[in-house]
Amino acid sequence: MEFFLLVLVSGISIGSVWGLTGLAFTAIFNASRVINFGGGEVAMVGAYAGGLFVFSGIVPIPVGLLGVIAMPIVAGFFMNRVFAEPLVKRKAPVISSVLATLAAALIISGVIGLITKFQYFQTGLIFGTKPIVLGVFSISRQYTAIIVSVVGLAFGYWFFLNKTHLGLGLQAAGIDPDMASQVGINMVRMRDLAWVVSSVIGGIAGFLAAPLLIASAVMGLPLVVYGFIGAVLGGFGYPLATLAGGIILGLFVQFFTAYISPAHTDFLVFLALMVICAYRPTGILGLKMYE
Amino acid sequence: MNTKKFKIFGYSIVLLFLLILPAFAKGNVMFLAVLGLIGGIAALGVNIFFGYCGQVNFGAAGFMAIGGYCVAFFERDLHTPYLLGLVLGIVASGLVALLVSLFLLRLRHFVLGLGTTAFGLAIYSMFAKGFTAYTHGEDGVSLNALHLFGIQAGDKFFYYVALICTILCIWISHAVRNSRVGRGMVAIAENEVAATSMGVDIDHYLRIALVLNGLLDGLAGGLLVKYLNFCSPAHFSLPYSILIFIAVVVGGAGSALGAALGGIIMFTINEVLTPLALYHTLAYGVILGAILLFMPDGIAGGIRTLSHRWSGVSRR
Amino acid sequence: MEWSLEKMKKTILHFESVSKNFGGLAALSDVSLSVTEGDVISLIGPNGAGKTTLLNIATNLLPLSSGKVFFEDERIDPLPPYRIPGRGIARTFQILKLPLKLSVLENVAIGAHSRSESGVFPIILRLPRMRAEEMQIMEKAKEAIRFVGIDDHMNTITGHLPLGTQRLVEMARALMCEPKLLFLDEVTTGLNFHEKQKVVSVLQKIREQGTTIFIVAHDMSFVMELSSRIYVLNFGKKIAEGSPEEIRKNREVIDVYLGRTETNS
Repeated sequence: MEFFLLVLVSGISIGSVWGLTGLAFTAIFNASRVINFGGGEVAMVGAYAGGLFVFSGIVPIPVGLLGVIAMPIVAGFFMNRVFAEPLVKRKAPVISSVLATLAAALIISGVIGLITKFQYFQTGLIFGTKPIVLGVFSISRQYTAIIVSVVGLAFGYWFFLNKTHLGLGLQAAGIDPDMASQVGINMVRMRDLAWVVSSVIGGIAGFLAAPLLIASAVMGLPLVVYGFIGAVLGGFGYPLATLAGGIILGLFVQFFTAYISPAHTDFLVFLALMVICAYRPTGILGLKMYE
Repeated sequence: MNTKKFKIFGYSIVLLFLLILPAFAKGNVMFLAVLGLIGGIAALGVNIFFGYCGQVNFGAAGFMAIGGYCVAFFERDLHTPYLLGLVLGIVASGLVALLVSLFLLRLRHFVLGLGTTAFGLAIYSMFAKGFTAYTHGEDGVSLNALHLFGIQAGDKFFYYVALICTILCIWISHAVRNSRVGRGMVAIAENEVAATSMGVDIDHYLRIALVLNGLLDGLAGGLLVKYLNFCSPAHFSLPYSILIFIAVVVGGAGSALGAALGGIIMFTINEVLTPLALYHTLAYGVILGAILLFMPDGIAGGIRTLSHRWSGVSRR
Repeated sequence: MEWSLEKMKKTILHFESVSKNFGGLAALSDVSLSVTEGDVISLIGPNGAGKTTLLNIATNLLPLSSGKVFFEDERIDPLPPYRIPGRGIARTFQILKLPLKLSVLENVAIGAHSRSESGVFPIILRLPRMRAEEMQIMEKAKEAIRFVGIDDHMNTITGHLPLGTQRLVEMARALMCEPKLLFLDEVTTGLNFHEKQKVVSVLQKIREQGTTIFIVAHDMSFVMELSSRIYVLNFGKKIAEGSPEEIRKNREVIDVYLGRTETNS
């Protein structure tokens, strides 16, 4: 029973991280039809910032957390302004944005890799090591932190999108860019905003995941791949579905690894992805195709 | 026409240079050249799917893996001679492409790119982690050195073989491109509705393109493993798939010569940077980014624009 | 009631009670029309009347919700869209859908696709039959380019040409499949007077060859000048049909176009 719970919670946790990564690039996609391959890199920067500011104990934790949020925003800003925005202005096809963000992701990964010599980032369990006990169940603090943060972030994102002026503008910009700009919405600023939101979400996801995953300059790629898989699974373009898809994926992976066969997990996940791509490209929830 | 004579002259010089290169190459150059040419072949494969049909393939290394592992397994377990193993590897790769096309070709563009990524990753994990008793996973499978008429085939041999294969693949690409099939593929890339209304059966052509992609990349993989005398998943991972794709973009998607050139350049850089492994990722990002921002049609496109400006063609 | 000599000539295209629904919206309601071989027919109507929808259904880019479409007395609505050119139906698009990076010659050559047959193997092996066919296609393309009068631009990149010339390229491309019926969707939209004249003269030439022409347009003078018969659509329903004279005098049509009180239509 204990083991089952552990697998369950870890599945939800890792799935949430993937879901958040998916949420991060969904935000950008909904605003500008750009597919951000660098979503994982942003998370990686968050993890790196975590290592620099929080886990090293150089500055007090609240200040460190500011750094954790700030660095990904800078990285995202770089990606957006240098690579994504010029292409959007040119009205280039979606494929170009994929390639451009890939280039950006490689550069960021490369730079951080150079700085850290591709070694593992410093991480730590800042929430303490004593598990939280709820009756008969005990859950590690890190997992709890992740789950709480995910719920918080998801709610915050939903609130932002639907209950704030800026958020509604962002939605409008995504649904009909031409109309939005005619109503006076500054499209460039909206896209910047989408990238900022995306970077914050991604960065926090990376920061939280750092102690769980092997955090290094190359952690971005697997994150973005699994994030995409989760997004396609749940429903690409729909934030809640993306999050759900990530969590489902996380559960599947953990359970399969724990109870059946760790060696074949990846293979099956990717095979399943191919099949899902083919037969249910809009996700298993059957939502309408967003594009 | 003057441009045509100039072109023929230029190509002949390059060909001559390539043919006599082994005579004065020192040290590592041959090794780089062979790997570069193999990269060129792989890029030519992806060029047919992406350059002509406009569909993204991030799983090309998966096709290389099939070609390579077929060669390795046939040699290890059935002791088949290399040539036969290579042919079988190519065929197997083509067959897998056909199989995969059955369900991936319901998609287009981004989702297809995702699907091909999944394919590449599936193949990789199958060889790296699944069925490890048979495949030896990450440890890889070693192959015997190739012997012809009692002599061990060395760098020079593989160089000429790779060169001939590259030229053959360029020839095939051109033949396809300058035919109704090629025109149909380009029509698909630009606008599917228009292509359909002109009578192009899109699914059929995309399938042909993917199979050709599989065949060429299977060849590349089969050559690679025998040259290195070693077959391991490390050569067929996602970064390699992406490298091949970047090679096509850098060289010029839609141009066979460009793709080949891009493949040679990127794979050579890849090897050259190995001691400086720290700079790999950054270098690729910078190269890809620079091409996308400044020369979106790749090197081939850049040369084409220059030559147009030089001879004032588009003015007419 | 047209029991006239007209009926003696073959009906080349026949829409029988065609309807098309998008969710709850009826884009086309019970539309029936017949096109006689060799004629020049126009379909007019205000924006959103369903003209392009009808065209898309005729070329099978859209499936119909109910009804039948007959071409030369055979049902074509079940066919997949890429089989339509092979039957002898070609079309141009309102928003140009030409690959802009290709040269004019290549673009026109694509049009022969439905009339040629070399497969991948002959192509890769460059068999003699394939090479002969390729030369034939190129010759035909050059001829089509000369027919529409743009031979100056044979090797120009299509994207570098003005819109009027691009439309002519599209027409040349459409001619390559030897169509018996040519659909033209807003072919004069966006053209200046000179360019329009060129299009009209090409259309006269096409008509002289016996090809049936079906025009969807807004430009009334263009339509009146060329057509032998006009159909009018409004809100997805056919509200009038007849000769240009009859249409000019038709009350309902005038109302619809001048936007007077919307009676039931």
